[in-house]
Amino acid sequence: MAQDLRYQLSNGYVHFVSDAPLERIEAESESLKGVIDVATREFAFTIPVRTFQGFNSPLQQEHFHENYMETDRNPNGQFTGRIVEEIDLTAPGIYQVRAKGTLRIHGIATERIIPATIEVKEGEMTLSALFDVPLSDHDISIPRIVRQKIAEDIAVTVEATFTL
Amino acid sequence: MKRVFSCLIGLCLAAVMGAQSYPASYHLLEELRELDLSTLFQDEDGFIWLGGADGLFRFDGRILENFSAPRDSQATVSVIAEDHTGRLLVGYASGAVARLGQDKLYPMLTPDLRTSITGLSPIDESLFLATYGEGLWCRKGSAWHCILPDLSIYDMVTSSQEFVWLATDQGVYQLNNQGKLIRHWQESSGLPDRIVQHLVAADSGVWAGTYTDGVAFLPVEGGPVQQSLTASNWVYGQLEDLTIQPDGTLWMTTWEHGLVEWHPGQMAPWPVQVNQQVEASKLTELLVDREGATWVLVAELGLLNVRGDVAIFDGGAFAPAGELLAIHAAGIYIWVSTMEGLFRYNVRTRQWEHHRPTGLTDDDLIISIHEVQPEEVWLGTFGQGLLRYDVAQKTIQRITEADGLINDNILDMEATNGSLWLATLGGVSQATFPVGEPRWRLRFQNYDQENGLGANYIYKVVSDSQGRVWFATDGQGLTVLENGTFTNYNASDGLRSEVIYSATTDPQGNIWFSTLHDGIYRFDGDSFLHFGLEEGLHGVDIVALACDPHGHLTIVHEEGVDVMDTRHFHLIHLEDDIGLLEVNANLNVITTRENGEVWFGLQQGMVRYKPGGAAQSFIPTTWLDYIEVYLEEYPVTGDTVFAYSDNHLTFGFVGLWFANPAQVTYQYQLEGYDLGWITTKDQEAIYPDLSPGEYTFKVRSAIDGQFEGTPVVRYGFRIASPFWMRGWFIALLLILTGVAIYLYVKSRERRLQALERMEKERIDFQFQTLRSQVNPHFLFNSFNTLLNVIDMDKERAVTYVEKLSDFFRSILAYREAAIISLEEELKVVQDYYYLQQQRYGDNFSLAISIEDPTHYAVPPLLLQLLVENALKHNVVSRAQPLTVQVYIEDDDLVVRNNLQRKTESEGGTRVGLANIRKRYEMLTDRPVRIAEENNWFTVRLPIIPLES
Repeated sequence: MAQDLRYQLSNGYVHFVSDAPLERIEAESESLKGVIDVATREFAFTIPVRTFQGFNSPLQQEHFHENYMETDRNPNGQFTGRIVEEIDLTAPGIYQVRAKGTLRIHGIATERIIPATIEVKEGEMTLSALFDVPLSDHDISIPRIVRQKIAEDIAVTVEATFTL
Repeated sequence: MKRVFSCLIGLCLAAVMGAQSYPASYHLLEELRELDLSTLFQDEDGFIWLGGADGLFRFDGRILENFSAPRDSQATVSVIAEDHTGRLLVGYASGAVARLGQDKLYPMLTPDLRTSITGLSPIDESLFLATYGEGLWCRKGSAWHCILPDLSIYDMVTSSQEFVWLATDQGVYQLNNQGKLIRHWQESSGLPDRIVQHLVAADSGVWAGTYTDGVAFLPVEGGPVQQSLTASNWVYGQLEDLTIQPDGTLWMTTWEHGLVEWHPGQMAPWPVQVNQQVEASKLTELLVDREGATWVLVAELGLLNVRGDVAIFDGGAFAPAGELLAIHAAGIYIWVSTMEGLFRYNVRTRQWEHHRPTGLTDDDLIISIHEVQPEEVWLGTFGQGLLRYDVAQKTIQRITEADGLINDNILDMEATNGSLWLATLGGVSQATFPVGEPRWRLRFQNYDQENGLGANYIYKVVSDSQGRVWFATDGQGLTVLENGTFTNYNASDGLRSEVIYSATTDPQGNIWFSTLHDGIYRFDGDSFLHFGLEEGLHGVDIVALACDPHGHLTIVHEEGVDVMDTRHFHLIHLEDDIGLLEVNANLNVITTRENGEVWFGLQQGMVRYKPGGAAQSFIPTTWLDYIEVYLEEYPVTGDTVFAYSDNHLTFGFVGLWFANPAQVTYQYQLEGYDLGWITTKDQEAIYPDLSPGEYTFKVRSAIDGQFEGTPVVRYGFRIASPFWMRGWFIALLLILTGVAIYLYVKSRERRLQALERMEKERIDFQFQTLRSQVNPHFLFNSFNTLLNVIDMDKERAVTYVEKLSDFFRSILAYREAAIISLEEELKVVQDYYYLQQQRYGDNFSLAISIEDPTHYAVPPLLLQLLVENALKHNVVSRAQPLTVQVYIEDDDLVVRNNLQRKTESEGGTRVGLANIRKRYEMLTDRPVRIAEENNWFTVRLPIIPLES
């Protein structure tokens, strides 16, 4: 029965880049967890912010967690919602979809519509998405002095593989 | 109390524009910068409402007024609508709904909702309520029921045939007025994108604004989606809002490109440059007001009024170089000639072409243009004759005086059926097209002064619907050719200037013409009507006139542009601040398109103006906004009878005309008080001290003081008479007076009777006293005593006789008095005691212990009588001595004696006591108390203080 089917995320990868005039900062994590319900097309993703690795220096990583993300208070980034397009997630094929839901970063939730590509193979599904996260949407304030070093919009890439 | 802001109108004009034309725009409301607002609405009365995180505000063009209840100040307004009775409905992000009544918001009973209200649509008696997350609800009567549960609705509109439309992530739902789902529009119905966030109702359907793929038209009757923009021709990204202009043009705010305009079926979507200071992403909500202007909510900047009726082409949007000489509209083209050549503008593609036909020379200054048929344009030159331009062949045929043309300076042309009329500096040529020969071999019929034409310098030729041809002459007024006869109108007909520069006809068949330095005239076939500065024109040096099919006359002069409604003669002025720079003063730089657009030239550029069709465009809408009684708000819909003391009235009024609120002036009059209209720019009239009576407050508003024919708003009321001037009070007063007089007479009568009775009683008492004191027994006893004393002690006898004499004199002295002081009375008693003591010796004793007898009063001889009574009724002997005590106790004057009653009394004591009681009754309310107890006979007389 289709309504009981759920894709569980088996492999997830999240990467972000802040491309500011004076500095480019990148970090990535492979600790993305998630689930997609085939019948309702509802989904939930979460990632512990602490797992991001990369940055240009350990000090920068510390600033990221303590000054900007306040990771102790808001340990996870989350995105929950539903795929807008009425597609059959069990039928093999490549689909351009839009995932609509609540993106919670830094404890602040915003309603987002995020385009994504889904490829369904036998018993397996891969998802990739590229979107921007404006810092202002999530009340992440950047001191004026580092504005040249941190971008106002952070580009996020998500790659994930799901299995039934 | 509402917060009232005064409005500063900031002029924010775009300077140099990009490659496109831009609409004139004005004022951002400065104080809105501080406010977080997200929704716009115009109510039936014409007020503009703004709502958002900072509450609810009303804007009348000048003043922004806060209508949020103080406790609601944190509630985010998400949608504003109006119910079928004209009351404002406000939906909140919290899920609550409120209704405005008497300037106050009252919560409405709604289902228990937790998500934002995104739409409120009243249809007849029912109310549809859209939420973001909890679906669609409908109220019929007082019951709410859910129609589509769990749906996230972005927007809701109602269309013709009372359909309700919902914008959602799953496309568009179309429901009937009962809430029944009629259609579900999705990709399969042709919707380019299933996420639809905005809807706007048009005549026969609804425009849906999609998330990324532009807009699509959904017909009310169903069928395929029409005229949709698809991803291929929509390059402007995500929509912020969508609205429709009166002419059917869609205006959209987009995240990336700001304002975009699209006239479906006519041209591709095109970005509209509003103001280069405004970032594209800051333009959010749109509203088209009833005057036809568009309002754009600009995040962090305020509210921008964008006039869709005026578009200015300059800078990059205006390709031609050199001074403008003539403009002529033909179909979708605008022909423009300048000192630098001939140009053509395509209004659909917005492209300019420079036309350089073979045969056109640099010496040819084209001062008049006329397209007689497609691809055949006739050009009038200055001194070089008439040119026929074959646009397809790019060739020119030149016709000059040698070909029979009356003059080679062609100032104007007019095509009538079969002929081309040419106005020149040498008279008029009527050219007809030959049959069977090239069209440029014109046949000419020439007219000049000899034929009856007023003058040979003709600036303008105009044909009218009745087959007449009018000629504007230089110095000889207006000439008309009717049925082959010329008639000339000049100074003798009342024209104050005879130099006529331009002329046009209106839809009623009147001819309008402008004169040098003397404004404009209307001629209706019988008489001339003049309009100058006094009639409201802003300039009298008129360059050009043009009238659209609705009767709106555009008057271009050196001071700018006036527009007149030719039916009611109302004028509006397009101010410099909407972006009209210097107007071009050449004669032919004005033209009218079939759709009513008037195009005219600037010094460097041109203006497209579309006079508004709505009445609101020419007359402000006047409202009596509030009434205050002693500065306290009073409902305008309340009782119109005011108390006598509520006679300090303030009337607040507003004339809504958003095109330029600064030009609105008011006239008011309080009938019954003011003798005439009072003209003001204030929005308040104060009457501090009105007498009782009937009044009518009248107010009207106008643009630039043109009050003639403007509607008047009236408010009749009455200041009541004070109660002491009303009939019932006077009647009551008369009755009360009557009763009072009656009661007075009655009481006087009673008092007289009482006095009479008292007098009688006093006389009785006197008589009784006299009788007792001159009682022979008393005298007999006294004389016996005296005899004894005379024998024993002569001196004592003298004293005795003196005391007796004093006693009787006292009786004589006091018997007439009503009261005497206690001191005087005690003196009499002492005398009496002396007299009796001579007889009884120690067997009779009198003890008086009163500290200050001067402060009290008693009826005369009363104590004496009591002492006498004691002697009279009691045994006095050595074995049984009689003691009488007089003292004051508990506000009583007490006289008592030990009781040893004689077996046979001298009689009549009760009469004496009753007499005492009566005398006291007249003096005090307190009773005389007489008691016999414990062998004491006690009389307690109320103390009467002696008044000094």
